[in-house]
Amino acid sequence: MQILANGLFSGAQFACLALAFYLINKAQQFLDFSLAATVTVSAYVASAIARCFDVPFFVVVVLGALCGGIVGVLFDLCAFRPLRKNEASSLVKLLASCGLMIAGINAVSMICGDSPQLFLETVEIRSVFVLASRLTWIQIGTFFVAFFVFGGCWILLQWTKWGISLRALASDTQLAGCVGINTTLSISIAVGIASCIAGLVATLSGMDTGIAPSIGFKLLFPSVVAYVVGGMGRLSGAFLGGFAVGIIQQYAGWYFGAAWQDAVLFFLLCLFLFLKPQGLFTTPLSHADV
Amino acid sequence: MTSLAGTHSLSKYFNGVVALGDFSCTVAEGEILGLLGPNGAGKTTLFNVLTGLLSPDAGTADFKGQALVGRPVHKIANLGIARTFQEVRLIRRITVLENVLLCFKNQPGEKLFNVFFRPGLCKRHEAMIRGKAMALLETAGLIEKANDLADNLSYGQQKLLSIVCCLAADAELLLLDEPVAGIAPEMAERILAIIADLPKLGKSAIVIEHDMDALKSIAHRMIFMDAGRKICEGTPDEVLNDPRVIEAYLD
Amino acid sequence: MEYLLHIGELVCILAVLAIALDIVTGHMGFVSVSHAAFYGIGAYCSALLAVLCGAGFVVALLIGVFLSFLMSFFVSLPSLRLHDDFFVIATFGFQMILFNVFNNWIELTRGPLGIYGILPPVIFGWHVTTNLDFLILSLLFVAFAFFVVNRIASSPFGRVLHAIRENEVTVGALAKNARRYKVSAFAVSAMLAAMAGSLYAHYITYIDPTSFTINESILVLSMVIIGGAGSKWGPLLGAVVLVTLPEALRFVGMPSAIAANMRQIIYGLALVACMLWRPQGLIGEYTFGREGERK
Repeated sequence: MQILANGLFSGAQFACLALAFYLINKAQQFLDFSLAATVTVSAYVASAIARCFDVPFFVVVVLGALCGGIVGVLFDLCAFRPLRKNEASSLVKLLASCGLMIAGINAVSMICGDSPQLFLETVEIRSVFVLASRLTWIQIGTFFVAFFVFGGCWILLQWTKWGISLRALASDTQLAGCVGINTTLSISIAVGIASCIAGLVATLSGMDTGIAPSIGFKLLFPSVVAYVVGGMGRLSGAFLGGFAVGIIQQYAGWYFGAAWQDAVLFFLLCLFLFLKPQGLFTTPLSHADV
Repeated sequence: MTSLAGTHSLSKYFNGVVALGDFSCTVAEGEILGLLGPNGAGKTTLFNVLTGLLSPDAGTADFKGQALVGRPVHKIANLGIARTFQEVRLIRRITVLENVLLCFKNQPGEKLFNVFFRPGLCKRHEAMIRGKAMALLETAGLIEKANDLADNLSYGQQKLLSIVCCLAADAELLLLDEPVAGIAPEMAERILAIIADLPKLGKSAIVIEHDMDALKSIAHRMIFMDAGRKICEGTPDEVLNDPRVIEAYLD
Repeated sequence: MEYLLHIGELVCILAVLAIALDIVTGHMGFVSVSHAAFYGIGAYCSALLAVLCGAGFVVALLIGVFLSFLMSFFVSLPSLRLHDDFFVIATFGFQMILFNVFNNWIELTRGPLGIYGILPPVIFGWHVTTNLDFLILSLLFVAFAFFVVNRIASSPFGRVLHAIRENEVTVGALAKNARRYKVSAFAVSAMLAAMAGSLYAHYITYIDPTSFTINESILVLSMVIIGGAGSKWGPLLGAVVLVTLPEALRFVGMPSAIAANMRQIIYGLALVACMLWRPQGLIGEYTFGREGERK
């Protein structure tokens, strides 16, 4: 039961990040690895804020999310917007995002050192015994925040002008521009929101388990797997995928040892791609659009 | 003439729409079969089923006695069927010559073992197919463009190139999807001449076209399709004068 | 002088890795971030065989290469049907798994402690002990890798790889089983990467998991791309540039503690800059655009 609870908590993190990937993929048609850098930077900045200023946790979380948003938009302005202007292919954008990921994470590593740190030295995180498992308040909070984030995204995508624009440009960016949708703005908003989500997850995760430069990678891979496995076409798919991955990861850790969690995720990824590629891709490779 | 390929009661549905309905036909060796019909009649779908890009919901198709349904695309191509597409499908960022060279089958140089351990064999074979490729390009009138990127050819030249590629593949059955649609008359004539010569080379073809005069000049037999079904079949004169065909086109 | 030889060594080892990666990324168009894993397989295999069994250099190398060959199927068979981004994810996953294996399978690899005491190689009586000897050996390796990859690129096999790179769907219609080509190319790539690993292990005489992380994978990828993916000399040039340029940092007086991070930052930013202004790299032609790109 504890495992399940842990799985739901880590799953909540992956679910949110999977949503971030969903938004960026819809907006820019590639998987944005630089989110790992966004996560790392936000976690450290949030931690710094918490140490330097005496503000309630809630504020720290909001600031962490904002920081994520700022970092993400900065990346977009410096790198991805010019690439979009050049009509770069998705592979080029992906490579650029890898470069940003490496640069960003190492910048943090350089400034703050490699060793893991506690988010905030002086606070003791209280845990609660609920549903036959030991959970911290942060973990429970993260779980509910995730649903809030999902709800927010869903409402935004379904009901707002921006959401409709995003869905339009996801299927045909040029055409969307022709019918008067401000694609640049829509994409920027998507990036901003996705990065804020990333910052949010980073802060919450950092609060719970401490921060280290590797936080970016640790959250990135399972979230991407979640996004892919959950089905990339649908917001709910990505979200549920996150929880599924979180739970599977925890059980894998229990049965095989913590070191093999990633391996299990990799096999899960391959399994899905083998068995259910139709649910995951726009067109399977072997069938041309005839 | 012996039958080279045939379909038997082929059916394919897309969400309730009949793309192919109980469609049967045969193509003999050395025969050019024209396929006529309005848009959406199922002609391209037939090609897709024959080449393995789509699997039918019912019926069978065979080529030289071998079943086609269920075989992977590259294996069907290996049996001796080649096709062109309505929107030309070439590899645009390599040269014209390379596009043709790619189509030759069973090149020893395509196996890594041969590349390293039998370089002489690879070199000889490469020289031979280069010769053949240049000859084909010469016949088609594309020889000056041999080293240009396929992307730099005009639309008509690209269509011509795709037929040259089919010839390079040494296929016995060519499935040509609107080979002269949207091209200037001189180029169309060149292409039609090449198609008309196919029986002399021992090859057969199924040609989809809307241009009835063009089709009439090369086809031995024609089939008229509508809504996935065969409406009538016979010599070009028979089909083109059939009241059902005339009615379908006037509708 | 010794310093220059050392730099030369590093350039050569990484050049072999870059040339290996270029088959898959440059000639076939599939971006892989798993090559540090294969590099590590070669290195660990060599190291363990040398230290535990006293195996000779050549034997250890061959076994490492063979193991890498086998492991390549773990990646290639499930993943090569994937496009672009997803193939990268799969290779990312493989890389993380292998790193975990190197770091956590303590009984075998001694985890973070690493393996030390790897003796310099002895090849048919030639004791490779000095830096100069090593440089000669490495240059031979580079020449070998260069020969292999260029032979492939200019053969009909290479022609098919280039076609796959540009437009994979059409290749199937040409009676070619694209999968066979992709899997073979990936296997060759993995084997060459393992060779580089073997060389590295014997040169540094100490290996630990931190040399085989995703950072190294992206570093090699950067070399290939910045040099010019798919071009004859591109990967080599990339290796030279990306190894020597950050060394200039030393002369600027940067403390070594942050030098490592600084180098990574330079690699990352160089990759971004390259994508922004010259995606084909310094001397390449392929710009990673695809025909028939999915939306």
